[in-house]
This record gives sequence, C-alpha cells and structure tokens, in this order.
Amino acid sequence: MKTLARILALALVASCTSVARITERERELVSRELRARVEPLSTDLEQARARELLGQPIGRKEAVAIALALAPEARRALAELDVASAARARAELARNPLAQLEVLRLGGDTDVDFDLTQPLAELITRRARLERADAELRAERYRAARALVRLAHDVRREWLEAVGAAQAAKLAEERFEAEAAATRLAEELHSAGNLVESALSLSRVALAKARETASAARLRSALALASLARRLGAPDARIELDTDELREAPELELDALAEQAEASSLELREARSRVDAAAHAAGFAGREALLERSSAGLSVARDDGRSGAGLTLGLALPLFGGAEVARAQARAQLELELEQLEALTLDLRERSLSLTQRYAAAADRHRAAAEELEPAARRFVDDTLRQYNAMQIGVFDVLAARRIELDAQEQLLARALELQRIAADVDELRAGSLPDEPALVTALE
Amino acid sequence: MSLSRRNFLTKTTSAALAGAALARSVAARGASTLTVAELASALPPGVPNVDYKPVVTPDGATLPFRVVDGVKVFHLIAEEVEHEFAPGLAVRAWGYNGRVHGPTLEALEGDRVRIYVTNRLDAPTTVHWHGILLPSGMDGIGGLTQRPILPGETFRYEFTLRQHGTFMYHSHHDEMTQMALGMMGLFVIHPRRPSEPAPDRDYAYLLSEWRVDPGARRPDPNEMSDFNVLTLNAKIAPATSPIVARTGERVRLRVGNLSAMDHHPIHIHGHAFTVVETDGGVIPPAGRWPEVSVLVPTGSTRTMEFVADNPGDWALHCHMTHHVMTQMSHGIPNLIGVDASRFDEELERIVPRYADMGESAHSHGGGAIPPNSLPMVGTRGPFGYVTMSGMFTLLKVRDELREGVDPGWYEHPAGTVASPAAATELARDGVVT
Ligand SMILES: [Cu+2]
Repeated sequence: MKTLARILALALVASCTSVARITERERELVSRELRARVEPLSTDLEQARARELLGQPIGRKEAVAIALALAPEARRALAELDVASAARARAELARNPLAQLEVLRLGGDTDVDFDLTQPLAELITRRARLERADAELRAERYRAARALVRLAHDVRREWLEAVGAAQAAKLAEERFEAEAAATRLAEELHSAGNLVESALSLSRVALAKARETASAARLRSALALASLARRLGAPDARIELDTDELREAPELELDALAEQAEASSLELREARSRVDAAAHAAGFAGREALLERSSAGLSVARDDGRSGAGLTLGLALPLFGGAEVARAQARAQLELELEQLEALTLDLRERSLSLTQRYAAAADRHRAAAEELEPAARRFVDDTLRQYNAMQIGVFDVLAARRIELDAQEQLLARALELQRIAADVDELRAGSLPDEPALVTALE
Repeated sequence: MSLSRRNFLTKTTSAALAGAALARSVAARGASTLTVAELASALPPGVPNVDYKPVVTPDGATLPFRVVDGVKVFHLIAEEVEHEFAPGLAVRAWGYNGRVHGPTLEALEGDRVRIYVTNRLDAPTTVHWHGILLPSGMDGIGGLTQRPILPGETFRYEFTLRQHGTFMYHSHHDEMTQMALGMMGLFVIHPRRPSEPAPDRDYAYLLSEWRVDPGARRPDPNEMSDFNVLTLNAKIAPATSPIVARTGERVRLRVGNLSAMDHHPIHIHGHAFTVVETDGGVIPPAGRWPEVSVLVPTGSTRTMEFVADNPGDWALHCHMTHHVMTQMSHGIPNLIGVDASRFDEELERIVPRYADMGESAHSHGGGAIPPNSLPMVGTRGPFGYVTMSGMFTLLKVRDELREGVDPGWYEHPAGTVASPAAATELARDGVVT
C-alpha cells in the first residue's frame, strides 16, 4: 500500500513538471518565431514599460510593441498555447491501470477476485499517439505565433488608419481656415461697398461646407484613435501619434513574394502539422478501435480457501466493424487536412500575386501624386502668390489655387495610405500570416 | 465734259503728265514743296545735315543708307528680336534690323528710294509704307498689291518720295499678329524747300501697345482690349529717355500711333503747342490752334511744335490713366476703403507659407513677383515715387544744356515748389483744415 502511494505521488509530480516544462518551451519557441517575423521595439516588453511608452508620441513600431505587451489578444493566444501544452503533457502520461476487486459470498464461502489490468490500446499505440500529440502541439504553436503576427499587423494597420485620419483632419482644418479667412475678407469688401452680395454668399456657402467637412474629419480621427487605443489594450489612453513614418513611401522588392510567403507561412506549417497529426491518427485508428476496451493484466483470486494468481485478458469482439469505421473516419480527417493544406497553398499564391499587382499600381499612383500632382499644385499656389504680389489677381484667385493644392494633398494622403496598407499586408504575408483578402477592386475605383 | 477730257488724258499722256496729275493732288493737300516738273522725276539725293537736319528718335535709331546711281538704298531685315521694354521686362518680339521697333527711315522730299526687305522670320510678311504716296504695286499689302515675302526671300520696293512729313511703315500681312509683335517703324521725309525754318529740336515717337502677361516672354497678339504694356518708341517709363530743349528753342514733336486698338491723347505739361502737320500734309497756319493734348488716332501721325519757354522737368504722357500703368490687371477686387494689409494677414491663413514670401505689392512691399515682369512699377523722381510708367517720359527744359548729357533733375528756384503749408500761412489766409 505504501509503495503504491509512493508511485502515485511520483507520477503526479512527473506530470506537473512535464506541463510546466512544455509550456515554458512552447512559449519560448513562439517568442522566437515572433522575433524573427516582426520587428517592433521588442516582442517581450514589460507591461510597465509599455504603459510608459503610451505617454509618448507613438510610431508604428511602438504601437506593435505596446500591443504585444498589453493587448488581451496577445495573452489569449499564449493561453491557448498553454492549453495545448497541457494536452501534450497529458498524452505522455500512461492511462491509469484498472484495479477490479470482486468479492462474492456464495453460501458460506467468500470468493475474492482481484484483477489489475491496463487497456491494451494504450500499450500498443502509445508511440503513435505521442507522435500525433507532438504534431498537434506544433500546430497549436504555429497557430499562436500566427495570432501574434496577425495582431502585430492589425495594430500597424490601426495605427496607419489613425495617422491617416489625423492628417485628413488636419487638411480639413486647413481648408476650413482658408475658407474662413477668405469669407472674412469678403465680408470686409462687402461692407466697404466693393463686393456684390452674391459673391459674399458664395463665400459663405464654401465656408459652411468646409466647416461640416472638418467636423466629420475630426470625428473620424477621434474614432480611429479610440480604436487604436483599444487594440493596444489601453482603451483609456490618450494617444499621441508620431506621423513621420507616413512620409516615407515603402519600397518593396516583390519578385520572390510567393516563394517567401510559402517559406515563412505559419498557417502552412500549422496545416502541415495537422496533416501529420491526422496521418498518425490514421495509422493507429484501426488498431485502437480494435483494441478498444480490450485490456490485459494480472489476476489474483481466492476461492474456497484456495488462492492463486494468473493473467487476465479482455477482448472486445469486432462484430460490428468499429475498427473499419474508425479507420475510414481517420482517413477522411486526413483527407480533409490535406485539402485544407492545398487550399491554403492556393490562397498564399493568389494573395502574393494580387499584392504584387496592387503594390505596383499603388506605388505608381503614389509616385504620380507625390512627384507630380502635389508638387505641381504647390508650384501653382506659389506662382499664384507671385501673381497676387504683382497685383495681377486677387485673394479669391489665390484661394482657388489653394483649394486645388488641398485637393492634391488629400489625394496624396489617400495614395500614401493605400501604399502603406499594402505594405502592411505584404509584411504580414512575409512574416508568415495570410492577410485578409482586400475588398475587390471594382471597375469604378 | 470734263470727265471725258480726263479719260482722254489718262489714256494718252506720258508718265510726266501722270506725274503732273499726282503733283496737283499732292500740292492740293499741302504735302509737297516740289514743282510739277520736279515731281515727275527723281531729284539728287538729299544729304543729312546739309539738306535737312536729321530727326532724333529717342531710344531708337535711324537706318543708314547708301546712294547707288542717284538712288538711296535701304535694307530692312525682318527678324525676331530680343527686346527690353525696361530693365526687368524683356520679350521675344518681331522687328527689323535687330530692333523693336524698326529703325527710322529718313529721306528728303524728291529722293528716289530703293528699300530691300529681307524676311528672316518663319512667317511670310510684307512692308507697307503708311501714308506715303506711291505706285499701287509698292503699297505692300499681302495678297492685294504683291505676294507675301516668304521666309528667306528679299523683296525690292522702289519709289520716289513726292511729299514730306511724318509717316510710318509696318507689316501689312497677318497684321494683327505681326504688328502686335512689334513690326513697325517711323518714316520721316523732310521738305526739300521748307517754307518755315527748321526747328531747333526734332523728336519722333511711335506709340504702340502690347499684351505681356507677367512672367510670359512673348507678346500675346491675340489680345484685343486689355493691353498692359503701353510704349513710347517701344520703351516704358522708367526706361524712356527724356527729351531736352534749351529755353527759347523751338521743338518739333512727331508722334505716330500704330497701336492695335487704342488712340492716345498725348499731353505735354508746362507748354501749349500747335499741331502743324498730320500724315496727310501740312495744316495751313490759319487752320491751327493751340492745345496741350492731342489725340493721336491709331494709323495716324501728328506733328506738334512749341517753343520751350518754361524751364523745368515736364511730364509728357498719354492722358489715358491706364496707359501710364505697366502690367496692370483689371480682375482684382476693389480695395478702396478696406485695409489692404488685412489682406496679406488673412492670406497667411489661406496659404500659411505666404508668411515666408514677403509683403505684396498691395502694401507696396517687396514680395516675390513673377520673373520677367514689372507690374505696377512707377518711376523714381527727385521728390519720391512717380506713380506713372508706360507711355510716360520727361521734357527737360533748361537755360543751359550740354548736348548729349542728361541735365539731371530740375533745380527749382527758391519758393517755387509746392510744400506743406505753415500754420501761420493758414491762419493768415483763414484756411481751416
Ligand atoms: Cu494712351
């Protein structure tokens, strides 16, 4: 009895250390994957440091680092991994043996029968089951890493939208300021008797429109900022943005994107691991079903004052073809996993190709806006100002030129955002996570 | 009866008789000092400073000639010319012999002239001798009296000058374009036997108008009404040279106008003058009257004479106020009654970077303006800024003059310059301000 208790205690300790060890190792492996795939300030920022960073202007990399430290989505991904780690630890443990005591009183006699049996399937499929569990844990590890990579890029996209909205709001504010100044001048000219009523009214119409637009832009900016704060795991933070990065157009070399995407895809690795697991499962599913409820062990009996020991064997009779069904089911599961792997491979290639095309077009449009449209509009305003200085044109002509410049600046902002969104998707793809399919490019876009 | 006689004559008389008919017509118009016989043939070529006192074309030039077998030979070359209206405003114009306008042609009544015209432009052209009586085929109207002179070609015009006075020449092919680009000049013919003594000073001006947008480098011939560069001999103030006279000298001022759409009332300060000639001939003394301004219609010349009897610096300008502006625009808001500096202030809110561009012309500051433009400039004067540009120059009358040297600003005798009124003066005269 003492010996039995000792064995049980040891087993318990062994199982616990095994869970802690696996959990630690898995988290380390995920962390390593993450470090290789995203480049924030740090992938394992202390929470306190992350909160400190929240008080400073936040660039893209800071945003990612803070989210990895503070966002519940990051912790959830790791918690899910812990669950998988525990499951793997469980798979390593042998199933407890079955002790069966039978005491019968027959007439004046007491028969005692004690059997200690271990399920047979346990013994015969242990190695295969461990391999399946390993494969499943690998799948979960890749899934966790992918969730974190996705989170990092979601945060980057949210940051981008917040920066874009803030800059759009600033442009709308500048437009409002310009219209307001022009309207004040129109009012002065009108009250001096130099401007007709309709010209003043037109000025006021433009001002009202600019006021409405600026208000809407402010709201969009506030909402984008709130959304970013939530994504960072700090919904109450008052976030200030460092917007410098938007000015630099990313220059991407996408010739080998499909190969790179396939080589680094975490989803592909997860899917392969699931195929492995399903293949292992298929390998022993028949035996397991056949040996289901079958067991072997020792038997001690005492009957009629005689006692003896022997072997005991319990066999489930394969009358109803359970093994065949189990094998078919496992094979079907394997087929399913293989199909999913295939579909994923196609998605990766398609996304690589479409991102390459979208990047080329967006870079082209951005270049046109940045190198031609915006400078031309800026020059137009400068020329107009010189003509104004030369008294060739009036202040309202300058305003008209300024509107064109603001239009161009808005267009440039839109193009820069578009390019940055694509760059984020490309980076996510290269980091091993398949970005969501973008909205279809419509004929009218 | 007389009609049939005239028909008879035109059909049967010799060239001499035709010349005599012309003589009658010219003499009737008071433009010739020649006899009937003299009009029928060319006379010995007039010699400058012997037979006539050459005219001065301020800021211009006189075309040299040579005499071949008793004929004065001139050579005009139509070509593109880089022309400066005033420092800071230059254009690619069309002119003659490297000048805009072309040099003044000058001759003596009775001279036979042969004028070669070489076309170095990319466009066909002709030269019309405006106001000059000549055979129809020498009149220089493209398509009507000759075929146009094609690029690279040289044409010969030859005729005898049977009148005297102030005339002009200009392109008469695609006139709107070629004249707007500057293809014109003066043609002065001196009388062979003047009835009046030659003036002490003889100046000639050609008026014209241009459209040059600030920052552009070529006059726009398509402009129809809003001309913004108004020139005296193709110059604008402050680049117009002053004309000078010694006190008591008689001054002749010949003014021709070949503007596209405008007539110019030329006004002289400090003097009254008499118009003695038009390009139609001499005005009989009984028909002249004193004036201080004379309207010079486009396509006409007016010759004025006056005695410079009033020393000083006198303005000489077109009296249309928009014609003494340069590169004036007419599409800007009326700022009278509002604080113009407020505009610059608000403009910095419309275009924030305007703050870095300096003050604008609205506040007479030195803000950046388009290259190659002289918008709204005026002229520097001894008492500050003269707000006239364009068709504006000075007549400087002095007791003492050194020929060829600008006498500088007039030194006013003490007490002859308007100045702030003293309080004692106001009190004395009962003026309440
Ligand atoms: Cu005028």
